Amino acid sequence: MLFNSYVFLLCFLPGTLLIYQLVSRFHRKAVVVWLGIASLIFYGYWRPQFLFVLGASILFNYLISCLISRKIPNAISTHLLLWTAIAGNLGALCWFKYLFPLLNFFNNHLHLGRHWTDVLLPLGISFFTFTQIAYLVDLQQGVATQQDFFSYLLFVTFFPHLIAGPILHHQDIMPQFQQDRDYGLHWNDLAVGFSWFAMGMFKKVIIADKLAPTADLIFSMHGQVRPVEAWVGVISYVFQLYFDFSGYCDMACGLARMFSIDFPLNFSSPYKSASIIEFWQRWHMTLSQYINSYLYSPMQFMISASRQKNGKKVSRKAQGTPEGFLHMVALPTMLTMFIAGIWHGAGLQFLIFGLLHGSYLTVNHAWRIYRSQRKTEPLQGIASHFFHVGWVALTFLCVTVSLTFFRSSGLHEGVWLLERMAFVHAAHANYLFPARPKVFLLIGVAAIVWFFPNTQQVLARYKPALQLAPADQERRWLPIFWAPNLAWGLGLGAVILAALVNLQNPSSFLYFQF
Amino acid sequence: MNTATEPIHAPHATSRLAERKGFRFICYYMLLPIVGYLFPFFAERFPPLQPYCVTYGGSILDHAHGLAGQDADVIFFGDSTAMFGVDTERLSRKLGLKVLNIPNTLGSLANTGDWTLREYLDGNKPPRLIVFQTAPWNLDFHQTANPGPYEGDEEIVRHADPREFFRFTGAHPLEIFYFPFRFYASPTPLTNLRAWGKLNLAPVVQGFSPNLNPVSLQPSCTFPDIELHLQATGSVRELLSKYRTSKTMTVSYLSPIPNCTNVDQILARHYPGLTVAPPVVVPPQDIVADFTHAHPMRAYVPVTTDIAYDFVRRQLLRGSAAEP
Repeated sequence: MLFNSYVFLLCFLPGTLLIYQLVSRFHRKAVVVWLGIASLIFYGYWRPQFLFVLGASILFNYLISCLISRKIPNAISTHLLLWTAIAGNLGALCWFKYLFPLLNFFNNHLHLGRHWTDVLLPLGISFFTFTQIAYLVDLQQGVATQQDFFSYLLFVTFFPHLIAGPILHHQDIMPQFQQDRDYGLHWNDLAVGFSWFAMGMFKKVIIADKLAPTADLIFSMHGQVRPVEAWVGVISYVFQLYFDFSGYCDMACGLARMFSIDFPLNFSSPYKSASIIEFWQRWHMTLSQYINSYLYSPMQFMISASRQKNGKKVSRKAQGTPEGFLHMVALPTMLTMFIAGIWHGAGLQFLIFGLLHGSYLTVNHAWRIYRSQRKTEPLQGIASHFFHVGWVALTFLCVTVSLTFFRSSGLHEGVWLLERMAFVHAAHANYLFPARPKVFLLIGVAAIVWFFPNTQQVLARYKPALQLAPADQERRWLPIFWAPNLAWGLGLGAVILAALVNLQNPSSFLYFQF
Repeated sequence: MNTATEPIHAPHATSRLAERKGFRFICYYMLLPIVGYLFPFFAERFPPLQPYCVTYGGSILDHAHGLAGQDADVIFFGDSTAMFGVDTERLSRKLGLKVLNIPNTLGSLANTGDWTLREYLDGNKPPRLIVFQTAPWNLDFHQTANPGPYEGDEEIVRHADPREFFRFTGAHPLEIFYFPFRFYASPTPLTNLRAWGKLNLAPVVQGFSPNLNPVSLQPSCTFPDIELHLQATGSVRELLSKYRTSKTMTVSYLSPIPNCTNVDQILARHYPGLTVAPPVVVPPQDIVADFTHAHPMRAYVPVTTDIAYDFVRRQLLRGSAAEP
């Protein structure tokens, strides 16, 4: 079920809220059970057969968690159980996501003359797989506690985050369903939740969906476009992806808030970043944190341990040497981003996306180390603003190049488009559309991206999420704050009305495919 | 204690003041969606607003509801090919009889069925002849793939009496449910004046309005599969028997079709249970290049009208001969 669909907005959501309010009068457990059932209905609405995949995954992981925590008495090593679970989860993920695309990839390149039909990817498989792996890892390390089945079911399936995140950490979400508090609906939280939901809807339906046709057209032309059209199409996609995904996350956070549940933030104006390191601290934040905790840090730990074993230094100073840098920074960064890239799909374009970001991050880390070694004084006054704008522009350009591959149907398509953007072979291009109106639209969207506060900043006074990102707490020159008053109520109501009108052909969210 | 202007900390505070403010805010928030949802139903029924809420198709279809007292000898009832293809004024002159078209589109027929014909017959003398005219591929009015069913919803909301409205709502609840959203998304003077201003509108005379699209079909045109595929003829057969009386003859008439490359497949077609002559084939360049493949160019309407004239005259003569 899509958040931006009539059935969700006019049937599922009101029904779920109403029954939630009714069952909340009985017991906390009733709330947990009801939200778990509602989430399964939400998930199974599109293709009920995928409930078997989700159900099997939950049962398998819950069984392993019971074995790890010795809830089911056993003498099997917890390490063995954990690695079995990780192998099982990743095996299922690979089966659905990579096996057939990979077979077809080799078939195409080796001319084997066979074609395998892709299996349909169960919605949100990456997200619920990652969530559960993290829980089992922490359970094995004694950081998490064993849950009863329905609490676990709800933790994995809670419908606002089930399909495209944010990726929830058990420590963030489970305590909120275990507190001794009034579980009924609260007008406070409904007000904040509905407002945040409307803001997300605005991003998705009013902005992202308006940019989508231009981006789709340009990326379907196999590079047969003029330079201006290539730029317009690629930047339309860069903005579309941000507004689509952050709109989804705003809706998810708003929905959770309606039930008085706080989610972690997933976006914090990433295009305002002045470096790639900062970009990844602001873009898909829960995935970045997940990758950092469960991939990058263990990898770095292993490398450090290996160096120490060989008598090499692992200090910050050692990272400043070329050998230490390559070993302790470049290698784990490149490997992590390589995996992050192919997580998005089994295509060379995703691999290039990951490797590009790995390279960007490596260069960025090298630059930081170089600057810290030189002990350069930070710039002051207008010069600092000037340079800041330059860094933001450079970061955006790097992201734009990487997303060109990310969106392309193949490596060649991405290269062709970048060639057009660089005015290479531009003479062979067709005329597709008058660029001026689209450029004006992009300027308007860019103004929202760079000059307006983001949604959590607007809602900052009402604790919109578990935490605010550091960047969201800085002073800003356009102080727009949400308040429960008539103007905001009517404005956001108008957004919902406009969205309802635009939902006649509801479009899916871009991150559903991952 | 928490007030509405203080930050709300998790677990979220629920003080009365904040709760009241929250409740009031939700009321403000719901106001526009609810009013906005109900407004189209009101505006479509409120005469001063009606001219500003009408779509292009609706502006022609509205003429079906102002025919009380305009008794006619020959009634055309069919899809848009009848509406765009038979100049009823010219036909009246040639026949020396009053001819009226009760305008419909395939999209409106899917929802309104024969409602407008019933409405006409309830308020007028029975005609001598009712011609059910459709393109050869539109013999099933109730097909679900009809384009533009909004036109039918619009006519129901604009003109149906409460009984008809609730009957329709019972049969098509989703059409009524989605109506306000379609209302805002359709080009009308109220919702999209710019798009409305770009439309080519011609006056409607006796239910006829020419199609002003200036682009015609190419000689190399082909009919798409959906038009080659024979649909059920039940809708037309039902109408033929339903409205045939001792005073009124009913006949089925297929609109002229362009001589596209695969026209033979349509001409070779049989229509089970329906007595109907094959359609007349006309040059493609005299037919508008749209998805229907059957709307005559404005300049060609006299020819398609004369083809209809021959048909009607034969039917009337046959009817006269059959009378005692």
